[in-house]
Amino acid sequence: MADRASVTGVADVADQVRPPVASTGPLGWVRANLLDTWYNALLTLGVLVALYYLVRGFGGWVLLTAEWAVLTQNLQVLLVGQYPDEEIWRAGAVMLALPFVLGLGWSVWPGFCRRLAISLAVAAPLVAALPVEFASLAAGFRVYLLLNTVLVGAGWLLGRSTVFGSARSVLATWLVLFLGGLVFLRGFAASEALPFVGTKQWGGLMVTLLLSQAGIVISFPLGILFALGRRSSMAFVRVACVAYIEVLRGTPILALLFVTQVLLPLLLPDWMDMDRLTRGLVALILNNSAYMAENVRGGLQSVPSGQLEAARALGMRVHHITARIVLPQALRNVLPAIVGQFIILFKDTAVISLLGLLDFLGTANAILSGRQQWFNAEIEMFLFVAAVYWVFTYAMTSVSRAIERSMSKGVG
Amino acid sequence: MLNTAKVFAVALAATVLAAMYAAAQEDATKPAGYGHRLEQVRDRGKILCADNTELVAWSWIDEDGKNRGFGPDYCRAYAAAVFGDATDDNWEIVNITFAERPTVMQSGEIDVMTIANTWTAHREVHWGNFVDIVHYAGLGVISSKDSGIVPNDWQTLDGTTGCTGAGTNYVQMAADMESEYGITFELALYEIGGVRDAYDAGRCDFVLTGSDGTGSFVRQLTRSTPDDHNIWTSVFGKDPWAMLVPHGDDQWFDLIRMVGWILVNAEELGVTQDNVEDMFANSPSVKVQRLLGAEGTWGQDRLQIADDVAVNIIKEVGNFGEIIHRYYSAEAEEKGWGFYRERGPDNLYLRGGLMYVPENT
Repeated sequence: MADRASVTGVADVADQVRPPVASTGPLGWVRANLLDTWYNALLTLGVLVALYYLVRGFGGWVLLTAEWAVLTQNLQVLLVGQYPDEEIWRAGAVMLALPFVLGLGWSVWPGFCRRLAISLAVAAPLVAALPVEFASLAAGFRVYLLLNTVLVGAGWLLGRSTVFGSARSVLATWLVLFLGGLVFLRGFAASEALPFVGTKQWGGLMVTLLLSQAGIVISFPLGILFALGRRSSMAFVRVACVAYIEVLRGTPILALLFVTQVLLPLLLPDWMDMDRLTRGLVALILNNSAYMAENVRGGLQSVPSGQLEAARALGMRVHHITARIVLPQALRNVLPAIVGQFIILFKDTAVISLLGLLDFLGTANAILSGRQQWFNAEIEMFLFVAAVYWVFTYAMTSVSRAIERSMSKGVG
Repeated sequence: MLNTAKVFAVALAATVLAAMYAAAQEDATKPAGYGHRLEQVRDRGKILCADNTELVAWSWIDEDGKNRGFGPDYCRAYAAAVFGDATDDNWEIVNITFAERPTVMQSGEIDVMTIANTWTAHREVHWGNFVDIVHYAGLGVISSKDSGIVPNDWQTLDGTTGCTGAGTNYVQMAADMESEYGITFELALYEIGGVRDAYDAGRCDFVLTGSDGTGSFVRQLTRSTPDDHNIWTSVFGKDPWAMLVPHGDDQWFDLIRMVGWILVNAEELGVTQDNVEDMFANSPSVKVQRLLGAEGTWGQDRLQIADDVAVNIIKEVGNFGEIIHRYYSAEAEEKGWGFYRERGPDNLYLRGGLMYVPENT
C-alpha cells in the first residue's frame, strides 16, 4: 500500500511538473534576475523608464539638435592642426603606422592586439560611410579611412610570415616607423619633395599621439635609470637621483610646463634653443620619468635579495645581474602600474594646451574661441574630444588588462 | 666601479666646460643694437610674430589651419616689407598665451608681437617698444531694456546688479567706474563662459565686457533677441591696443612703425589693394607718388627695404581700412571671419576718428 502510494505520488508529480521552460534561456534569466521579487521588478521598471528618457533625450540631441558641422568643417585642423594643406599627405601617411603595427601585432598578441586591430578595421569604413561632408578633407578622407582597414590587413598578413611575427620585430617596426615618421613629418630645408615643416605647424590629434609616444619611449628608460640610481652604492648618484625624483614628483606638471616654456628660453644658450613643442615634451618627460622611477623602484624592491646574492656568488657582473636577473622580474611585477603611468602620460599631454600649444584639446579650444559661428558648439566639440580621448585610454587599459591576464597565466 | 667613477667625472667636467663655453658665446649671438634684428630675420628667411589663435576677428585659424585675422594680416604686411611679398614660408605666427607675453619679449625669440595687447607704461618699460595704436578698446556695457537702465547714462547703473568675468581687469575697472561716477552696484562674478548664461538667465541687469565683444555677446544669447538689449556706445576707460617689438633695435622699431604709417596713409590717399599698381603708374598726386616710392624716398635705404615697399604691402593686405573691413564688418560676420562693429576712434581723423599718422615723405 505504502509502495503503491509512493509510486503513484511520483507519477502525479511527474505529471504536474512541466519542463522548466521559464527558468532557462533569456526569458528565464530575465525572470530570475530582474523580476524575481516585487521590489526587484519595481527597480527594473524604474531603471527602464530612466534609460528610456536618457536614451531618447541624448539620442534625440545627438541626431536632431546637435550641430556637428563644427567637427566636419574643422576635421582637418582637429586631426593635424596647421600642417600645410599641400603637405597633408605626409601627416596622413605617418598616422597610418598605427593600423599597420596593430595588424602586425595581431599574430604576436592574439589577445588584445587582435581585438584592437579588428575594432579599427571595422570602425574606419563605418566612419567613412557616415553621410556627412568632410569639408576641406573631401572624398580623399573616406579613401584614407579605408586605407586604415587595408593596412591592418596588410600588417596581419605580414605578421603571419615568420620574419615579422615576433614581439621584438613588432616593437622594432613601431620604433622605426615612429622615428622615421618624425623625420618624414619634419622634412628637410633643402628638399623639394619633402619641404621643411616646423613643429610649430604640427597640431591636433597627431601631436597628442606623437607626444605621448615620444614621452613613453623616453621617460620609461629614464625612469628605470633613476630607479636604479636611487639604489646605487655611489653616494653622489644616489643623492642626485633621489633629489630628481622627489623634486619633480612633488611639482605640479603645470608648474613644470611653465618652467620649461617660460624659463628655458631665458636660461639656455641660443644654440640649444628648443622649439615650443619640444619644451612641452621636456616637461612631460621630467614629470613622468620621476613617477616611472618610483613605479620601477617598487618592482626592484619586490625581487628577493637572495637572488642578487646568488648571482653575485656565481660571479656575475653587476650590470649582468641588473639586466638579466633583477630588471626582468622587477618590471614584470609592476607592469600594470607602468601601463597605468603610460595612460596618465597620454592624458597629461592635454595640459600643454594651457600654454598655447595646439594639441588635440588646444586645437579644439582655438576653433571654438576664434570663430563666432562655433561659439555655441562647445558641447558637440568637447563631447567629441572626450570620446576620442576615451577610445585611446580604453584601448590602453584593455592592453594592460590583457597583459595582466597573460602574466597570471604564466605565474599560476 | 673605479672606471664608472672616472667616466662620470670626465663627463661632468666636459658638460661644465661646454656650458661655460656656451655662456661665453651667448652674448655674441644675442641680437642687440641697430640693425641686428633685420639681419637676423633675413638670415632666417622668416619673420616671427607672436599671437594666439583665440580671438574672434583679431586672430584665429581657418578650416585649413591657416592663421587669419587682424594680427596675422599685420604680420603679412611686415613680411611684405622685409621680403617683398608674403608667402606661406616667410611669416609665422608663434602661438603664445597672454601669460607668456613678457617672456617672449625679454628672451627676444620673436620679432614683433601682434597679439591683442593693451599698451601701458609698465609694459612699455618692461616688455618692449610699442608702435602706434591700431585699436581702441575699453570697458563696454550691455544692459537689458527691462532693467530700466538708460544707455550711456552711468548714473542709472546705481543700485542695479552687473555681471562680469572673474579674474579679469574688468573687476578693477568696475570699482573705478563706481568711484568716478559716485554710484554703487552689485557685481556678480562668473567664469568667462558663464557670464553669458548668467545674464541670459536674468541674474543681472547689465554686463561689463570688452567693448570689442559687446556685439557678439548679445548675438550669442539664446533666451532673448538682440532687440531686448542696449549696447552702449559710451566706453569706460582706455584700452589701447598696439603692436610691439623687443627693446634695443631702433632700425627694426622704425621699420615696423613705418608699415603702420603706410597702411593708414594709403587709406587716407585712397590707395587700395585693387588700384595700387595703377596708382603707382598713373596717379598725378605727389603725395601718392611719395608714399608708393615712385618719387623720392623717405629713408627706405636706411631701413634696407625696397623703395616701393608701400606697393608690396598694399598688394598683400590692402590699406588700414581694408584690413578693418575684412574682419569687422557685416560681410566679415556673414563669412564667419569676424563681426560687425562701427568704426569709432580707429577711423581716420578726416572722418572724426583718431587715426592720424605723419606723412611718408
